[in-house]
Amino acid sequence: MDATQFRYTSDHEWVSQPVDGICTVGISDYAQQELGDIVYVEFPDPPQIVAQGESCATLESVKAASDIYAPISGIIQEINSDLEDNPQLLNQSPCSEGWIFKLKVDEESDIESLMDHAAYLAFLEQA
Amino acid sequence: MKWIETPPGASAAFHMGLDAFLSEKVLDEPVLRVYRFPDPTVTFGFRQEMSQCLLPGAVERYSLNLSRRRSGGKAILHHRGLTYSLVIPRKLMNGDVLNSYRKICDPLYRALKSWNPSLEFDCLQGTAYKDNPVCFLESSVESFSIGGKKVVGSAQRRTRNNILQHGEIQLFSPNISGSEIFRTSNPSECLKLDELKQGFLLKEESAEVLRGVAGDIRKEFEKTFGNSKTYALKCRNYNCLGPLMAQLRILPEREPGAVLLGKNQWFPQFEIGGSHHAKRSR
Repeated sequence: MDATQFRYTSDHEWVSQPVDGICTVGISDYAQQELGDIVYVEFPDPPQIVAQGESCATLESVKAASDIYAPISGIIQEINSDLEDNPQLLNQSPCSEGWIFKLKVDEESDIESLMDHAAYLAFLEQA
Repeated sequence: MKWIETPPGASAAFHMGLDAFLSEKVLDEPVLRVYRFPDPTVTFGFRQEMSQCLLPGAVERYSLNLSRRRSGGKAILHHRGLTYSLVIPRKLMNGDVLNSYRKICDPLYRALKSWNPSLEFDCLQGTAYKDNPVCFLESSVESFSIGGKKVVGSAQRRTRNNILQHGEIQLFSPNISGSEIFRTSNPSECLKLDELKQGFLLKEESAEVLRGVAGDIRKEFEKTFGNSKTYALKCRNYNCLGPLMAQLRILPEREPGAVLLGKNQWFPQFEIGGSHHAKRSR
């Protein structure tokens, strides 16, 4: 996956371009660095309907638990079960093997409201 | 900064519910609370299984209150200590987890150091995650210790709006030994659980000391986060909270047979009232 083609939220999550209406969701490299070593992922239970902005998963690092929010509305169809045994994939490969869930989006056009890669980089500079 | 005083007899579920409620609110300034659990209480990290942490019969034997924290981390016995809770808007706390711990722990350390000069801020980098269920068995980036014994442990929950950091200050030696309530996987840990009683900040317990420590914590946090006003806590339908709190007490969501409360359903509807005249404890 190419991180420059992702869309991003202000919660430091990325969303891949939809394929047949399905996006992949994960956290950015900035987010994994901020959290530190991740030791556990609490997943949603697919299929789960989520509204944009709704808390739907939790990451626990060595010293903090952090909410993951649905970047756009849809139905969570699949989780990355590799993270159950190997949560450090989120640190090692946040934009590829460390994806968190796949979301069938209600409206594909919703993704356009999120930041593109350049806008996200600018957002990080302001943070 | 807001300083919120809560009812002295408020239960563990009340305090954890209030932490959860505050962590979801849009705040314009940090909110600090320092309080004490009225009875021996064990709180668990958000994903811990009670049955894997406690010995069978420990709850009944010691009349333990139980509640789940929104933060991660491990089980803590709250007994003869003080608990602090800071909810700070994320816009006021940039940076990674380690830096935020340092910024929040610094004023706490200054306050407690004035009561016991032997206190040390462990501030370890990259502590390995160990698979034991008890917070005070290991030191970490946020812990304070005396003579190698951990006396303060903290944990964080990060939401979209805020960072919640709360922690336990083992102020006086607990009357209950850790080995009498917590499960351990090997004999050496059992010995360490017995030693938890040796980690405490002060020797002589009194109401005056409790007020003094709480007042100093407030004063030092003010130096970092700005002057505070005292706020009253209002609770809509306070009488209706009884059943809700009873449900919280039995650890929803993770224990077999427990009442299942959906996400967000367990947030009591608190309101932070207008500030009233601050009655400083010192």
